Amino acid sequence: MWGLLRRTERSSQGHIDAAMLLKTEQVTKLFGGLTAVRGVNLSVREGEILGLIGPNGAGKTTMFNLITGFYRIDRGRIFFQDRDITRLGPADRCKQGIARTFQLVRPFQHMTLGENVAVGCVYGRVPATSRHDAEMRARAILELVGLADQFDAPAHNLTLMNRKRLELARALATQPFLLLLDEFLAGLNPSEVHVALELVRQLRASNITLILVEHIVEAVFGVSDRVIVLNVGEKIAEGSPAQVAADERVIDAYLGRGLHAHA
Amino acid sequence: MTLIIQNLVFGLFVGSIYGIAAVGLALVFGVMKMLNIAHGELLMIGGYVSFWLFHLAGVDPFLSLLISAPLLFGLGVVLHQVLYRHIARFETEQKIKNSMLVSFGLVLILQNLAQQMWTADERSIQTAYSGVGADVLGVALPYTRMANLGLALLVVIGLHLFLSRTYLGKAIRATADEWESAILVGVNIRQTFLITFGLSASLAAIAGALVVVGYGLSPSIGLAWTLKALVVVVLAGTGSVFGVVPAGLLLGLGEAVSGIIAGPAYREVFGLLIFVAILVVRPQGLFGRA
Repeated sequence: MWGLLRRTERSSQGHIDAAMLLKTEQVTKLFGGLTAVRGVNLSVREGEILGLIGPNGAGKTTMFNLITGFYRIDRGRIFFQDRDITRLGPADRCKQGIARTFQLVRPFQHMTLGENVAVGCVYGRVPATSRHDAEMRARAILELVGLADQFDAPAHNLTLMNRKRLELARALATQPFLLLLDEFLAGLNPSEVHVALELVRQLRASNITLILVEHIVEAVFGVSDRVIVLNVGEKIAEGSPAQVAADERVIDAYLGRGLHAHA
Repeated sequence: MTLIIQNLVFGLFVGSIYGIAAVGLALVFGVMKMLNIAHGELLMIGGYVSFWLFHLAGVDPFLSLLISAPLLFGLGVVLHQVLYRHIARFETEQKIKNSMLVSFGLVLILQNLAQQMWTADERSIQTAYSGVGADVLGVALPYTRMANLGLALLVVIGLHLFLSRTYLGKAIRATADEWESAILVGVNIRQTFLITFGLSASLAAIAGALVVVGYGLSPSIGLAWTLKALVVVVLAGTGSVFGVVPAGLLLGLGEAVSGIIAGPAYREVFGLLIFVAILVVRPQGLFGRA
């Protein structure tokens, strides 16, 4: 089942010598006089899960908008699979293999779940060859996220958890190499968080590279290989979850002393 | 009694033109979140295309749709690239305001151009079958008017099939619902906007041909039709493209009823009363979702 999403074009050789998938160089974004993101260097290797954390206003979602092409970058460059994508628009970046979910989920309200996902299958990185192909793929992906029985249901009255599943399914439909999850866990109750984290782990098993923006720090530390901490638009720390949790600047800016004691 | 039924039937016929005129406006509003005041001018130009094709080349007005609809699609594409494309990047509220201002300017330009080129004379098409029709129990059913109704149904069915069955149609609906999500799954929304606008202009051309056959055409009719279409769109509920044709028929019927009760002078007032009443009582429209 997960084989459907597994990329066949290139094989990942584990984390150590895996190829660089995404790299940002000195990325800067200004909103008028405010610098939302300042000179951030970030890189993700194939198959990796990168956690992106930081206090409100740190620039996490801005980074997502820069990587997906929703914001025009003011300074710096972005490379994806060694290709300069700085000037590519968001739809073209999707076709290169970058997908994302929104913090506030945005399904196509007036369409069925199947149609929601099928649109991604048709216009994504690997366009479906026929209506039948699109529908088959949409069905398989809805099954992956646990919505198989609602293929023909309208998208406008789903529970939050199911809206998140649908948002994930639609992103997966484009067959991304890199998936950005923006606060995927926000608003979910503890048991739903557990289910959602299980979905994230399954994604990794299928070799999709992930960047997570999340406020539930324990959850990020639990699934991430590496964590980057942003504060006021700048990268203040980077490393394994344990290294970051012990970093003085991170503790001062974000984690606080309480969590440090647990970590 | 026959007179009343006759009035209602004619209300239904004119309502079908309201429906076609409004479908294009609703499409642009729903997908692009723009209010194209110049929609009536596109209708007017489409009407002139049919008129001149008939007048100069003897092309049947219903056949001329095969020429005028693609032609107006092209005009729509040009207008989109020159004007509306630049409004597309604003926030939604600004987009509505700016599109109204820009398209109002376009109204003045197109109206005056039409007057320069084609004079302000009122034109209409008299075909061999104009005025001919069936007679059912004393109620006249002119063929041209029945064709209006048939065409309105064809248009809405065709549009429905296009939007629900084809993936281009699904992309347009996806863009209407959540344009940012649509971009994220790889939909080229500049292209969907362009096609939507061209389609809307084509639909205006169809309405224009019906107007020139059944009613009359002059360079200044545009705004009245835009207003009528706007009433229908509000009646149907914004975002409900398929409610538009029934809403158009309803407005036509309502006008006929008000004409019978209060006299023909109050027909127009009735439409505006409905407009206000719907906004107050049921802002989501008759067929819209809250």
